[in-house]
Amino acid sequence: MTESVRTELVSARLRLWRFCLSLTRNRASAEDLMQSTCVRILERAHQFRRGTRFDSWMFRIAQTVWLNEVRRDQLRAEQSFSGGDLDELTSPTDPERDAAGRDVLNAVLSLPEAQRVTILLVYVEGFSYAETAEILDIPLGTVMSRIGAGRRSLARGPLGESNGDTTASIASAVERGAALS
Amino acid sequence: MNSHLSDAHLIRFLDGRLPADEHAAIEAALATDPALADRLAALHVDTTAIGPAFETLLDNAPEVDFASMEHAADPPRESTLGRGRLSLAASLVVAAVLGALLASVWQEPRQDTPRDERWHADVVTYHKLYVPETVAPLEASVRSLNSQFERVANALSLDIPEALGRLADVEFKRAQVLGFEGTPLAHLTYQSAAGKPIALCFLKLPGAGTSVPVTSRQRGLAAVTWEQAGLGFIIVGDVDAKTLEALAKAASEAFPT
Repeated sequence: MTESVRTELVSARLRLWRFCLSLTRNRASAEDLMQSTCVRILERAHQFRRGTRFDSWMFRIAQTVWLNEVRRDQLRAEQSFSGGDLDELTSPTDPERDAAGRDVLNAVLSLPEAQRVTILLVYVEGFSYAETAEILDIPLGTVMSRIGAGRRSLARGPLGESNGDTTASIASAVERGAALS
Repeated sequence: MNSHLSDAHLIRFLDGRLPADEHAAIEAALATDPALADRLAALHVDTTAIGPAFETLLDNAPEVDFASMEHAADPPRESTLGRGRLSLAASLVVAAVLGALLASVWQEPRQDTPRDERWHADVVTYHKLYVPETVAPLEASVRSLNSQFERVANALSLDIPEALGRLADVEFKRAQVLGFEGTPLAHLTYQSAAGKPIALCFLKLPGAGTSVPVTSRQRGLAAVTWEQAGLGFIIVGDVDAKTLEALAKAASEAFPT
């Protein structure tokens, strides 16, 4: 294992944990996934190309490990999720966690897996659409359709603003979009 | 009308990822095209709220001994387990070996294996991934215990005896719902006094009667299996058989016969 990969893994540890939790929606499975991903990263450290993004490589490996385990592990594939599980996923030491934030987290975690992981990579991890396509090993068009489906679902929940004045809502979006560009 | 604009185009617009001229064109069209505004509204979410909400998941990350990771990548020169402290590095080595072992198991054809043997095998396989560090950080309060038992009870449509939360000589850690071939499966995790993870699992088994507990070794772990009141049970862990048999007896007595 190269020293640089170890250093990168240490720094990205919390993001990997968040990715694993978001994929599995279950702490025990997330721990298993994180451990297996770390093993795989260590085994493949020599394959990491300098000058490329470590986080993309790390998430791609985690995604692959997860998919392979899902295909093979019926137990894990059938685990269910309900909003109540957030108690296990979030910090029990902060019971006064912002209620709106919990609603948002719950809404995103309730999305189907394909939409959930795509939304996470784009809007939480900040990857471009193309980078997300590469991490998930899917076409760019699939990324966009997953985002579209996810956004339509979320727009009907706590993240949506379409229940009010549509024009004002879009104007607000345009302002935010312009700020990002 | 701007019906030729794809959803992907509108998403890029909402995310501020369009070239300036295309962004301005859509912005101008919004003033005269209510259908376009409706399409945008259907896709519009406050994406700036997602990142902060996910920050909460950074809490409670498991402790990982990264300083020892270098040892995990290379074959250990001595038995790491023999040091008396199972660090993550050691568990990673164990996991790597187990991974290859489990992969070989999963690739075996299972069609001819009876269903009760398959679910026992899957539980044991799942439990093989548990290490002391998996269960040590879990803290079960009375409130969370009740909530977890309620979720399991609802999933299985079954009363879960409270006594399962206070079995002698082990610490209850967590109750969760897993599934086997479409059937909800209760998975209760305990920790022995020596820190070893133990799992008690049960599910509804059509045709299950009452059977005498059978103690066995499965994939290096002790296991006790039995049937009772229409349910199939297995308790498994890296502990001695007598300890496990006592736990199985206590668990069995908690349920109606």
